[in-house]
Amino acid sequence: MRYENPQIPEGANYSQDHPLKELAVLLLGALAIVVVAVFTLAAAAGWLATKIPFATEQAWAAGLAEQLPASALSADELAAQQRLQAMVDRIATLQELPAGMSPVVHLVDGSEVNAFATLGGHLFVTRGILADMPHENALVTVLAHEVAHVKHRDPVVALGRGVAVMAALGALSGFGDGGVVANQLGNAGLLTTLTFNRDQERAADEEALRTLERWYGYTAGAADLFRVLERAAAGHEPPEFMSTHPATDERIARMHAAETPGPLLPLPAEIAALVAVDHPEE
Amino acid sequence: MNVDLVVFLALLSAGYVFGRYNERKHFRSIQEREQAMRELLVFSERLPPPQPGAVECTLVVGSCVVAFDYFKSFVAGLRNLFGGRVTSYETLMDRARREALLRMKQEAAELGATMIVNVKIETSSISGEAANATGSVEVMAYGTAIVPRQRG
Repeated sequence: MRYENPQIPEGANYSQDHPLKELAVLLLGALAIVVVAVFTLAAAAGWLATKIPFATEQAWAAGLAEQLPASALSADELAAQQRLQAMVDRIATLQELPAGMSPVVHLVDGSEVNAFATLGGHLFVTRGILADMPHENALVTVLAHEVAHVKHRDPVVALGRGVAVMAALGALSGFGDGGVVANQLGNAGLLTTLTFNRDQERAADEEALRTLERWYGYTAGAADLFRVLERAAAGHEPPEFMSTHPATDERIARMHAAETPGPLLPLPAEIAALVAVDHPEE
Repeated sequence: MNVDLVVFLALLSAGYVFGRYNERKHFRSIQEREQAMRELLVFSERLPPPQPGAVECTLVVGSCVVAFDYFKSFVAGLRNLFGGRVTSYETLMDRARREALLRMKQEAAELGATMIVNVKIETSSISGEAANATGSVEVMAYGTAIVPRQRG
């Protein structure tokens, strides 16, 4: 028997790989897990949110209208808001909203071109978007689109997703032990920042088209709404309305393809009067 | 930017830079000393091969403690998610084992030994079970040094 200590090749017992390479591979893997988990949670929370009774949603949003300086509306604006409410009520009937689900429209004094739906069936429409409406058909389209969001429970779904994402990221990062979630829920009154995804927007567009069909018997003018929004987006102040919505060109094309011919009606008198103040030269 | 995140990134970079620098330096030193002490043989055999002449047997011990750096711990923590070789600790353990053997050999060499038999290696974590403690491992090598008895 021969006794010897042969030289062991260097690196026989450990990996020669660069440690940063391993870190990168592991981080990517972990990131993929996080992304999948967050998406799954968000989808699940969105589905669960649809189970929240509309009355509960309304209670959460109770403080919403009070945050607006309602008394600041002029007589003209109040008349226009009432007219818009009447249109929304008719749209609600046409869309066969369930009992108890009654959207409330608020006119917001502001030149930005924007309209959005939020919790509790509250719709916000700016003077800016009214001023840009070429005809009643486009106005019905935008209102029907927002009412459709309420019908589909999109605001509460968006809230559910947002809370789930925040809670998941908060739990994973270990920062802010749930305080973030409480903040998000506490800010429910300011949920003008709720974002809807493209599927929700597409569904609302389709519902708006069906509403137009029932209102007028034809859908002419629907695409004009999106031409207005596109023009507004081209200006120096892009409305946030656009940011999460399907590409406007695509929407115009889709709406245009779905349009059936028919006369375009002038804006209702109360709204036309308000617009005339904004555009005195016309 | 979050303060926690800044601290975390600073620890991670510091761990990486210093950890890598020390590791390279240590490996170079280990390789040099291993070459220098190649003549002193070590075996795990319990008994020495038959020796001509009288010998003395002495216990020799070498031990080494190595600490994980933040970078290694973080990578190992990520590795726990997926399983597989914890390569960031493999180099650490290799260094600790070889350093412990070298220190044992150093002690034996000072005694004038020609070989060490019955060599055992023991490893223990000395960080305890405390959460978030920066861990260290101790590797201890011990064996029986065979020292030829001096004549006269």
